[in-house]
Amino acid sequence: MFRQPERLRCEYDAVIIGAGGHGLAAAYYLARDYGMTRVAVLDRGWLGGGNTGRNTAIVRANYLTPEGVRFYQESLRLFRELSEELEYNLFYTERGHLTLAHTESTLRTMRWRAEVNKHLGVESEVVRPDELARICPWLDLQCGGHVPVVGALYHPPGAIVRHDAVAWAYARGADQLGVEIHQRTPVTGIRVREGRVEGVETARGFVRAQRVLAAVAGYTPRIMQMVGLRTPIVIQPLQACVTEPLKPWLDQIVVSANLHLYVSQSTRGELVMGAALDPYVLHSERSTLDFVESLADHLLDLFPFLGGVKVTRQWAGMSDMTPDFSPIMGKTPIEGFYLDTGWGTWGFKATPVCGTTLAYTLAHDRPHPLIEPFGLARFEQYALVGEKGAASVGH
Amino acid sequence: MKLLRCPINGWRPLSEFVYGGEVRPMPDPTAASDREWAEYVFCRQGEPGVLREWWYHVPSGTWLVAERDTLKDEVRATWLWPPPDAAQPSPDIPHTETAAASAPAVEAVPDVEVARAAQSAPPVEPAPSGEVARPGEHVPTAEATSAAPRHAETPSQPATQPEGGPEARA
Ligand SMILES: Cc1cc2nc3c(=O)[nH]c(=O)nc-3n(C[C@H](O)[C@H](O)[C@H](O)COP(=O)(O)OP(=O)(O)OC[C@H]3O[C@@H](n4cnc5c(N)ncnc54)[C@H](O)[C@@H]3O)c2cc1C
Repeated sequence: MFRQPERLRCEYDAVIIGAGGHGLAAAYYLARDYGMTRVAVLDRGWLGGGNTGRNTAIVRANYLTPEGVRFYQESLRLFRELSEELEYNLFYTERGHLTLAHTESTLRTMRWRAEVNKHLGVESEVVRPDELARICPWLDLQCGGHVPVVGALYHPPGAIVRHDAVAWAYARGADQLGVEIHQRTPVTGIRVREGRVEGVETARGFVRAQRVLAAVAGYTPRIMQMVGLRTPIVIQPLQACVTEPLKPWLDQIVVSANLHLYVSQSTRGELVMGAALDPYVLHSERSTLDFVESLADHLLDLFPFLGGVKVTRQWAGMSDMTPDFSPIMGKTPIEGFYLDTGWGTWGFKATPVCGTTLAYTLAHDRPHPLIEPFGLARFEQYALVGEKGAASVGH
Repeated sequence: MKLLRCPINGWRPLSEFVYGGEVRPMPDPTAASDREWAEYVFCRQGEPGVLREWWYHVPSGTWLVAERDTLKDEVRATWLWPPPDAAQPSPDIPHTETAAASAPAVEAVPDVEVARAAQSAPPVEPAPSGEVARPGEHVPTAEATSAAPRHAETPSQPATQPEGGPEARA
């Protein structure tokens, strides 16, 4: 599907650390839009083996801040035409995204979100329980009586995309344009001289490059240590699981922040489910029984008839969390060293738009207007972009 | 089940504790530049390593400091505030009576003043409500404890010697 070049050259125009969706998309658009093909994407493990291959594949644009909504809206636009663009079936299916409210205060944030969304042209509506029952008749709106649903934010464009396919398709597209993808090539150091990046040390030798982009999600703090920069990023595991396959019955993506749960049904019939972040900092992809137990408990509040369904697999990824639940993208105090991180629990949906905007940023050495609000410098300017209210689950 | 040793109540299930984040020294707010202050408020030691962190034992309302390896998820020691000086070797000693006796910083129940101060100032990140965006809302951590007012209603803690050595077990 894509070549696996044997020889790592000693110099490229750009080195991208991390062959997740973000790094691969950036490489693809660098080659497609700016003709920059002397590009290497390096990964310590295998392509798509990080959070790109671990997420629950939900794509939506119903965020809270105008900066966020504009950005994710563009990502959805790109996603819709991506199968055609990359000539690869990504199984992009629009399902409708329902965020349930169990309290009036949750409903208030949803009204706020709906208004911001509509103002910017994103379909989003607060619905009352009677309408909710029509949209998703399987829900127990009483939740067993203790946390009744009082309404929901309904976002019809909410979609599911096959996550591995997104990584593979970008890899193939980039490869066809001449980009080299080197798996099992960990970056072990970054050479900086007089405030300028010179290249990266790898397990296979030094590679010179004027531009280096780090798109390493859960490994960001380790990379930052190599260049001596501090960031607000902390790593916490996020877990997910799937059940045995069932006949198709659940069209929508259903999220409840109060119940710390979200669920959708994959095209294979499995229920794909996730919950809140693990409650403390940990650099590990281990999964726990606590997680499945509490998730199952809450799932039965919403869909009591699932009592006999078996969980077949569970896993975790390392989420790179920021204090404002917005990403960190763009330039850094080190010339030629760019960042794409802070994607935490929500970055899969941004894969295409990260690709286009990062490619622009590397090509022009200037942040793309869509990512200007997300610069690392926003913290020392106290100009945070608070997106916590749009997080899928309470954290 | 994962256990954590509360310096007051001994070994308790981890589910009884709430995480309060890294212990960070606060720069002098009157002297620090905006940049230094932002660094203090937002930046963290994100890379894996041995960290000193705040933990809160919910049932008894006890704030404590734990030294934990964030890669292996192993707790090496727990203390009431203040933990022993960072320059001192951490009391990473086997779980035996004698070992515990030789680790005074861990074993000693500190004077009640300090213990109460530590409990009354919640050095914790914003409550996990997940409802509303609250950019930049951070509560200072470590330092707040020493300046915290004493709460008369703070329940007195049992002055029992904690059992066992300083290391937590998984
Ligand atoms: C359980 C879970 C569920 C999620 N659900 C959703 C969801 O439904 N919707 C959504 O939008 N987002 C979701 N996310 C978030 C999303 O998965 C991530 O934000 C996104 O995939 C990040 O992509 P990436 O390409 O930046 O990182 P990754 O895919 O993690 O890629 C980073 C790569 O960098 C490599 N790397 C690291 N260090 C080095 C080094 N030193 N040298 C070379 N390579 C290195 C890694 O091996 C890895 O392959 C979820 C995350 C998790 C964990």
